[in-house]
Amino acid sequence: MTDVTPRVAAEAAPTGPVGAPTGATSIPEAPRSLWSDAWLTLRQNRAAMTAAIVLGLLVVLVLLGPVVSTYDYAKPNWDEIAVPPSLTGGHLFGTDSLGRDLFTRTLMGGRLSLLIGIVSTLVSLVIGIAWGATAGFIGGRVDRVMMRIVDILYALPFMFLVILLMVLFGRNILLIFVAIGAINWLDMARIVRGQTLGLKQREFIEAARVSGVKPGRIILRHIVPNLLGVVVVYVTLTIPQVILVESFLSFLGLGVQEPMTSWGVMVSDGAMEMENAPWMLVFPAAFLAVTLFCFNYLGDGLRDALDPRDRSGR
Amino acid sequence: MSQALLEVKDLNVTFATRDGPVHAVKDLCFKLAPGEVLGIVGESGSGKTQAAMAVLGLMADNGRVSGSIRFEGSELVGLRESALREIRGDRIAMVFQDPMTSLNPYLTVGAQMGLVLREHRGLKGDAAKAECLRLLEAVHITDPVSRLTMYPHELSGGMRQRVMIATALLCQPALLIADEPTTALDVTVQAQILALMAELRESFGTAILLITHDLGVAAGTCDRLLVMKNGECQEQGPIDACFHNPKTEYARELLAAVPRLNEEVPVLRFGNSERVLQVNDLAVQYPVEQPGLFAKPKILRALDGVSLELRAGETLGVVGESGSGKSTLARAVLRLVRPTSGTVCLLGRELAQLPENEVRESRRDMQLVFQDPLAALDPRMTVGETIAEPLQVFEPSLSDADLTARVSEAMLQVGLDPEWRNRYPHQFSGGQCQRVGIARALILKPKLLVCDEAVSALDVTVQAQIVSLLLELQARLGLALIFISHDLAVVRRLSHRVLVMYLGKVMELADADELYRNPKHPYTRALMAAVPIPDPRLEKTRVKALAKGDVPSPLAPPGGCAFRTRCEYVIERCGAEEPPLVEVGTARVACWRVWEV
Repeated sequence: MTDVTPRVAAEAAPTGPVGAPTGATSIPEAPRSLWSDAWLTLRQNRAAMTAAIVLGLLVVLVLLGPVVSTYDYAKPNWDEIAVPPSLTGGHLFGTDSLGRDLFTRTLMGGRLSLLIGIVSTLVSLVIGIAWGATAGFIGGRVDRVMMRIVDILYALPFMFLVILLMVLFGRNILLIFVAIGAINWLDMARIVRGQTLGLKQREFIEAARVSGVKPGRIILRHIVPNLLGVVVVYVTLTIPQVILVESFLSFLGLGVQEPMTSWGVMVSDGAMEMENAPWMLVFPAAFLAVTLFCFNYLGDGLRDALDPRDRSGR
Repeated sequence: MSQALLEVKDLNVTFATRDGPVHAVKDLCFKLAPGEVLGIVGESGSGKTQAAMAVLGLMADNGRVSGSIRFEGSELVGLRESALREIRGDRIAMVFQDPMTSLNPYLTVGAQMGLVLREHRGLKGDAAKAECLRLLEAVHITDPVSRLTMYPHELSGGMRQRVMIATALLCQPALLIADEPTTALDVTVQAQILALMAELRESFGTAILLITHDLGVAAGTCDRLLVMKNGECQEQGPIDACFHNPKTEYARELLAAVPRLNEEVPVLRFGNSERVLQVNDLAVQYPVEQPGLFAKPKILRALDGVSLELRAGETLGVVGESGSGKSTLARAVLRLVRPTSGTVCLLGRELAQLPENEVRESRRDMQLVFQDPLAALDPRMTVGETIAEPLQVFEPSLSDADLTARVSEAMLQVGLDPEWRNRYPHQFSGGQCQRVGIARALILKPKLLVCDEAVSALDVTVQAQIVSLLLELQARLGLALIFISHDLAVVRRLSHRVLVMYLGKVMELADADELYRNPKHPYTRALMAAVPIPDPRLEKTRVKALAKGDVPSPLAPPGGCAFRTRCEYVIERCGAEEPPLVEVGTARVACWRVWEV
């Protein structure tokens, strides 16, 4: 071992031309990672934690509710058409125009909407980040070719794509995932590429190159973590958007088929019965709105939690 | 003593922040007589800019000013915004650090100056234009008539700062506040601007409040000096007394930390050591896309025919102004850019044209320390992870415990507490971040370390610490060091030999001792003359042979000798033929008139 003199820098922590904020002393010195730190910060964010708990409850409700419910979501009941909601009458949320229990149907619809929202977004997230970060980081000709492919896919009309898929493979919920994912990753790829181009110029990326880090590892260890802030915000915007796109497709008759349902379908059905039976709109719409709110708050919280610079202030 | 123009008493500036109030300026008192130049010096965060902003009444929303600021007999603290606005620009004018961001990019020079004239003096049309011309001439702008119709981006940095000063003087203010007016400029241009300010002060009789971190700049320009630290005034007095007989400990420390041109150069302790680096005729060219569909890209010769060699334990200083190609040299040597031609031989291995994945093997022997210490660290990685990264790449079999031990060792070596390894970069000061950067660079025990402006962004006291750290590490580890800087004085502290570059070409390469005692190339001389000396007696009597004008665009360098457009010794031959590097004693110089000048 070389001759090491334990001589600690005498500078005071908060000085320096880059305006480093104070607060270094309040941070515990235990070994930490980006994720465990993020979790600690997130736990202190009350809005985000509330949103996460509500979302968790929603998921549990949506999964278990239809199982324990005494009513079938699919079978029409001609004796109880459009019964208003009541606590004692058995139908908590009332029934719809075919006499089906709205509570059970709302939860069934939630399964589909949440599934589509989360799965499609995850798919577009993975493809989009991989594609965009690679194109942006390598740059040059590779970047141009990859981004032209994105442009070409953009040019395909969305409805045309959906109809084409339906014609080729028949109607299938999986196809909706594919179609929505296939469109959404394009946006993600563009955003990620733009961010990567900016990050690539930063000195710490050059520092990694000097240290002999291979390109793949630079993307994974340096580029992607620094993209997370933007990506998380975008995801919180995408999940609601995907849920709405699905409802639009279903409205056109291209989405889920009766008797299966989703929140989008229920909202558009309820909108038509708004004057005689407002509960048919109010309940699914409320569930949809609460979900979207929760995703937004959770996203905000995640973005702050994933940025170490924001931590010392709290 | 005549009545004070500006009298500041018990000035306090506080900012309300999430972490509670921050006291930026504490009980500051000073007086400024008409026509006097007061320098406020201090390191970053010392509150010098906030004090000036308080005088102008420019405060952020969460800022609060208390105390008294009397200007020309009237109280400014608590004055209404509209009344302040009449004083600002009219009686008190301001020149900022970065002339590009303080000029509106969408307005021509004439239009911007016209705005001030209309607002404060009610001048319009031809009268306004004549007044603008008069001032542009006063600040020695060449061809002022055509400059009036130009946009800020069409002017060079020095020219923009001249325009800013001309604009500030339009209303003949009694007080000019200049906040780091030359920090963003090259050293030769800085010298021109400082000379201009001294001249204008004579002809206009304007009092100047000069805020600077550079004691050399203050020494040459100011009558009195005010030293600030942490918002408090440490010392105040006539400039001579402050420099030659400082009363406070802090002022002494600050003065001791300033690098000087007349210091001893380090002695080369490694006589005939291993040759680490050999560079021959290295050139880097970049194509620069031109606007227009069929326009051919222009070739930017960032580096042109540079040769050098470096032995273990030796430091080569590289100096030059912006656009001189010194950073490109660093990146070409480290193979971060692929050289267009020439060779780079590191420890006997030829790197210049190797593909990237083969260069990677050599990366453990050559490392880089960056200019901006915070930007060079990944904000989402703890400093421990950052320092460990090169080790994980080259020694992937290391166990976690070994890794931690090596990181701790590296942190101790650069004077950091290993307990801090789980902190994030933003929790450290600039100097500490730079230590992290050095620890990362040294953890693989490289043979060659390149420092690209590694201390330029740091305060002088921190700068001095980092420089001595580098010297100590070099002595202990036998590092070959390439130390790049625009600051001749800092380079002197470290270098055994110095390479002077201009527009991608080598002007002079000499032993440091020889170069500083007897600079041979006219450009080296101009550079030396432009460096302000932190000694008011010397600085005020020094006759400066300054380089004229600005550095030309590297896209269209002058033919022949690159420096000829600014050289006072220029002859016809300089334009016709490019001078080769010739041996003059122990030095190598590229100048046709090296024997005469």
